[in-house]
Amino acid sequence: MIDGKHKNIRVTYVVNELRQYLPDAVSRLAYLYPSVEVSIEGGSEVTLSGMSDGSLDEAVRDLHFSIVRQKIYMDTLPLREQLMRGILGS
Amino acid sequence: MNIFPLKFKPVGNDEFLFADDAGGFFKSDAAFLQRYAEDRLDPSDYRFLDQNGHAFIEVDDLAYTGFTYRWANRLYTPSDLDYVILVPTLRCNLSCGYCQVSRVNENTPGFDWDDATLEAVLRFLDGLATQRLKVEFQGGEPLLKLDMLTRVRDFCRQRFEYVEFIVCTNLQTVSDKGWSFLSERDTFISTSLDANPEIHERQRTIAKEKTREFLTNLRLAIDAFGTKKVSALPTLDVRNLPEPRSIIETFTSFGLNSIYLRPVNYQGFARKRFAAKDTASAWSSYHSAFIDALIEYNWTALEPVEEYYFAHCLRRVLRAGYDGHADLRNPNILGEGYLVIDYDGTFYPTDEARMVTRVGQFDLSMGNVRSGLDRTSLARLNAEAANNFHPDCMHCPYQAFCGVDLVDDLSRYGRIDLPKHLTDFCQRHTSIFDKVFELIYSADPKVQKSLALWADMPDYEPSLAKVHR
Repeated sequence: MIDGKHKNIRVTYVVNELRQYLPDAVSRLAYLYPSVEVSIEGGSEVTLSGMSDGSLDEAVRDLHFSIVRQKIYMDTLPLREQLMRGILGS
Repeated sequence: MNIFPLKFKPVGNDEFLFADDAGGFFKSDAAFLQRYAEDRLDPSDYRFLDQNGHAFIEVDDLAYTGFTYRWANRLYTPSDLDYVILVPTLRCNLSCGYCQVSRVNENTPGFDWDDATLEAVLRFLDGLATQRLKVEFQGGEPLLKLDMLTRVRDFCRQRFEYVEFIVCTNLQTVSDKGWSFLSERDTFISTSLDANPEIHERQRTIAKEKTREFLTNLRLAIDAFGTKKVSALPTLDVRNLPEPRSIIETFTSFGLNSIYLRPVNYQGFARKRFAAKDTASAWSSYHSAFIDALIEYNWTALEPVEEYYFAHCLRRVLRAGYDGHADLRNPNILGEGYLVIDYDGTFYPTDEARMVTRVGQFDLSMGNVRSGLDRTSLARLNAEAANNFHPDCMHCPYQAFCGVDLVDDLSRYGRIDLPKHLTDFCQRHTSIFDKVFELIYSADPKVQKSLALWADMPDYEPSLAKVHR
């Protein structure tokens, strides 16, 4: 899709259960794809613009991966810390 | 049931590689990832994860304890200092364009240990807690200071219960006394053989006569001492890479079956001659093609060949405890298990740190043999020496197998906080581990034969390549 300024854009949606991880995922996307502009509407509609079509598809994919990774990280952080304490004794 | 954290990456059409912090791994699909992410795992998921060590019922049960054991074994624990790299001289009788160690001409005065430095080195070695020591002589060309090498070796033999010496020599000009020194049972030779005779001449010896001298000396060394005592490394110019087959043929013609490919290193004086800063992509493609060429070669070869670093990475994936390579450890604590003593008696945590300091980028020295060790400046660096909680690495399925090389990051970028995927270290190792997993999951019998050889397995074991659907 091309917008009014002739930029490629993609719109993707994040389900309610994963919304809380979106800000962290967008931060990560900012350095994975520094030329992509990201805007969030209503907490779940994410618009990515810039770059070529193919790279933008990858950016959308990586955005969703980043959300999932952030969820896994947050969900398992207490377990990881407990494991680390057990191993290092601290 | 609780699941240990899983990291993932896409590896093909609807295929994902999953791995945990202890190095357990399997392949599955997007549907499993979705169930995992949305807390909707089904009974068959739980069964698979439980049977393969990715799950536990309660803290301190057998599965939990087993996982912590495996995780702990993935972490490198520095031992007492038991490995020293000694640089008795910077003088060298070759002037290789890519020289990774800062060197000076053979007749330049002021770049050797003097007697006082030697005595201080011996006192330092005498104070080590270990009874087992490995001593690596580097340079310059260390055989130019044969008297010092002899005194160090004599001292160490009477001081330590077990000691081993490695002489990193260019084997260009070896005197009778030099050959005699090298012939001893506890003394090993590490030399450079740059791909094939033509490239070796272009990069190192320049003149035909000198190339002939070197090749004759290498042949003499191998005939006299055998390949268990002699190793050779090729350093390759990424802008001018040879056909893999020509390297394999050259090395096997000397009976050398372990080849450690190294690109020209962006450190030391080499940086002035070669634009080798951003070559990870070209190097990784070549390295992958070289592994393919080895697989083809090994299919019919009587004596199989390995690429040393690839085999090392493969073993790190399959088993814990392969921490013998100083560039690939986690955490990679500097200045503990081994150190370098330069020509002027200065201590460095690694040879690369010596070069970073010498070219004036950062001072990574840690005292000297006269005043003693000073680890103050390294303490901050060592605080960043683990990848477990690095914001990039913690999401990477290769984290448990990979490591950290802060000196390499400092050398290339002047900082250690770049996003990992932008660093040469991350790009090169991601590519190597991609290749490792490509081979582990390959059904090609040629691949499986080489994989088993490199992993020290009698035969390829299909259960290594776990898949969950």
